[in-house]
Amino acid sequence: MVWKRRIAYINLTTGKIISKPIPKQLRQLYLGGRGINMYLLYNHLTPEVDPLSSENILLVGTGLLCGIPALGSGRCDIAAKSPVTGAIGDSNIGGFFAPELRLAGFDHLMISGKAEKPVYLLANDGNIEIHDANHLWGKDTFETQDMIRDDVKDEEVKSLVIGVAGENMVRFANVRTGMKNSAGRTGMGCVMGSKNLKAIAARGTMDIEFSHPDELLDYCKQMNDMITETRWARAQSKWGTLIIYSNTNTTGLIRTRNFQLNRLEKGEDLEPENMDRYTIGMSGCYGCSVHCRHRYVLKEGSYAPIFAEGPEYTSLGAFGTMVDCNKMETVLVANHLVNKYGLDTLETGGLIAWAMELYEKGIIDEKDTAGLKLEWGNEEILFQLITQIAHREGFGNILADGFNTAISKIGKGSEYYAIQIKGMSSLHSDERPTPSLALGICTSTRGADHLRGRPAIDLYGLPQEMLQEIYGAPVSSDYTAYEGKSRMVWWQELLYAVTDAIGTCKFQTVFCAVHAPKWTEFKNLIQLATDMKFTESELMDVGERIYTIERMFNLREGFSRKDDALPERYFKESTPTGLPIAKGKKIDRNGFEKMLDEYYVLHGWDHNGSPKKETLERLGLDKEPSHIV
Amino acid sequence: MSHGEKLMSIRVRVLLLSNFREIVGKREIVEEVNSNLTLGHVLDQLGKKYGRDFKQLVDPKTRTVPSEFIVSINGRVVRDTKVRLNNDDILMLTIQAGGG
Amino acid sequence: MSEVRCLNCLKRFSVNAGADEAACPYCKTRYRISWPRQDQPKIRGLVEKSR
Repeated sequence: MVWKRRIAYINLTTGKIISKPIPKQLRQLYLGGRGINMYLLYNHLTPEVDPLSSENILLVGTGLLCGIPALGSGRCDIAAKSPVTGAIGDSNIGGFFAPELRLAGFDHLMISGKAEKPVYLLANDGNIEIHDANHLWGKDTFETQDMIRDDVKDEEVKSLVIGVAGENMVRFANVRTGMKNSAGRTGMGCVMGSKNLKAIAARGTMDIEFSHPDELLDYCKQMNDMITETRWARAQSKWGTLIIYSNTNTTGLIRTRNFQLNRLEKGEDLEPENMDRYTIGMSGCYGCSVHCRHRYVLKEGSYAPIFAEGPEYTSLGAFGTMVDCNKMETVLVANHLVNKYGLDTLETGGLIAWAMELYEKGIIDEKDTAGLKLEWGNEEILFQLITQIAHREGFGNILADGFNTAISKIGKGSEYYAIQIKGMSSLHSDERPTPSLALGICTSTRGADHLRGRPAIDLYGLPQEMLQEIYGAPVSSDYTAYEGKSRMVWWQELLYAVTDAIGTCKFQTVFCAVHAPKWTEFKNLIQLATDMKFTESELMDVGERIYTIERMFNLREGFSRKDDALPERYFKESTPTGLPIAKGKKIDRNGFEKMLDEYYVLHGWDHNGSPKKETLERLGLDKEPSHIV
Repeated sequence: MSHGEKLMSIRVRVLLLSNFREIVGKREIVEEVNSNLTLGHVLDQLGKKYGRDFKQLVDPKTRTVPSEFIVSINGRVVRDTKVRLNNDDILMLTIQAGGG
Repeated sequence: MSEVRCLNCLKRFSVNAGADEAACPYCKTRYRISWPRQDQPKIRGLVEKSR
């Protein structure tokens, strides 16, 4: 049963490893995955530690429902204090690692200290060992996984690994598993590198026990039917997330040339159907009935041959629209390079696009870039910069420290051009025509981010009654409006927090698809899998508790309302292109501040975004840190 | 339209995305309709030409666009197919696919 | 038979037992090979150009 599941504490400095069961009390409050990770981070991290010091802790957590055959339940949450922002560091990864870790007997790992020399961890049927990783140091993310399988002499070993970017402590280095899956955001690979931890491997043959297996299996079948019947799922399994590009680029909701245009002109080659030239099939994560990942082969060109997976919509923006490259092949090569080196695709593209605009504006020149001409659409420069960043060479070394440090090093008004919040790059979506999406990237606890609270369904112009039924109060159907949008963001934040805590895929809840599982289905699944009983509103309270403890962490680190702010360009520069509804749009400052006020009220936080006493009491957070584990 | 108002022919650009693009094999088409006609008429006209997926764009009972589709006029999403169209309006036909 | 299917030209070809690498005889694409079972080769990835 779920109560037997264990957390392991691994101290890399001393080599000491102990494990304990995870108490039921903690499960009821935080479920698992991101929920328990956030609790552990708040409880075990000393405030104001340097994210790259041995005092930072790295948390790996499987979702509460990890292992069920539905909803992409193979999600794993990785957390630490972020070296990108100094705030919550938290990133979620799919693939097959989390179920393997569960089968190996562990739900959560808390890794502290720093190894003297490169090591990797191997979790296997109730044991965890620390292995030498000298021979893996310097290897890319694909080779590393291959070599661990060879070491263990087992093809079924699954590993979370870092590439050279993580080893070089590039602040936004990611953690990867398989060919495609990445815990991209907030620099968790950098934290692994700072601890000399090259990989975490798992192999298990233990059981994952569920309370009502027969009923659970039937219900999972219903969930899979519910998902596969949606038009969204059928499109995703054919075109992947690239399908989003058609909608956003056609309308004019996609930032291009950093933030100068909101549509990529002559961007036809990036349309999803053009992936057919390279795709050899689609693949998916554990427990997924959609399979949204392209598996592709690039046969020609100076970087060929490449056999890889992806790209996501995010990479299409990072290495397509933002840097004004309009060739699918450019995106495919860049996608492979960042995956190989272990770099966050979005942060890498965002920083390069920013540097290109600084170069265009004359704020930096070839003396600053060590001879690189950072011209829009130059794919060779793009590939070179990606490689430089990963190896901390040349101008890439400046960008490798992320926006906060690069802005202070470059100066000269460069901050104005940086599309970042709390030090982290925003997605390539242009939120000037869409206030709800703009609010969501600001309030995200991990810095500019579309996966923390984005009400993507706002773009669908759904009937008012349907929106009221979902969000529980009137919200406007018009995606350019400000009315009710704070409620949408708040509600989505709670939903995504719980989704990350049960460890299912965000795509398989109300993110892209309206008629997808949410509170009722989640409560039923939890009951069938674990026998824990929640009402819908109690489950929303769990989401509120997770989001609020993240907020408390950030407040403790000195963040406040002033950091929930959009880049000035959103208020000052109007969108120059797009369909009539998207053209000439900027965010209204008063409207935005009003949304933010309303948003704080919904969370039970005060005007500055600090949780009120009664909110803390209601959620049981007034006793934190409580050190239950 | 008041009785006796002169009927004119208007041109509407129709941008085709996702499966609609796949069915027609084009990214964009132009439809000519009488100025007294509504979005519903245009969608019905497309349904006759291109078949089932296009026909599903209009719920026959409510004459609205079902939530699984997105139909926008000049970028504004519309559900009510009784809206009138103007010359040079841009229609976009696609499915639910958000996120970015 | 110890065969894999080429990801490039989709033809099946046999792999020498225990080999780390193999090339498709039809399109010449080179692959890294692993052996989940003694008699079952699996393509791990392409042999990339070193740079």
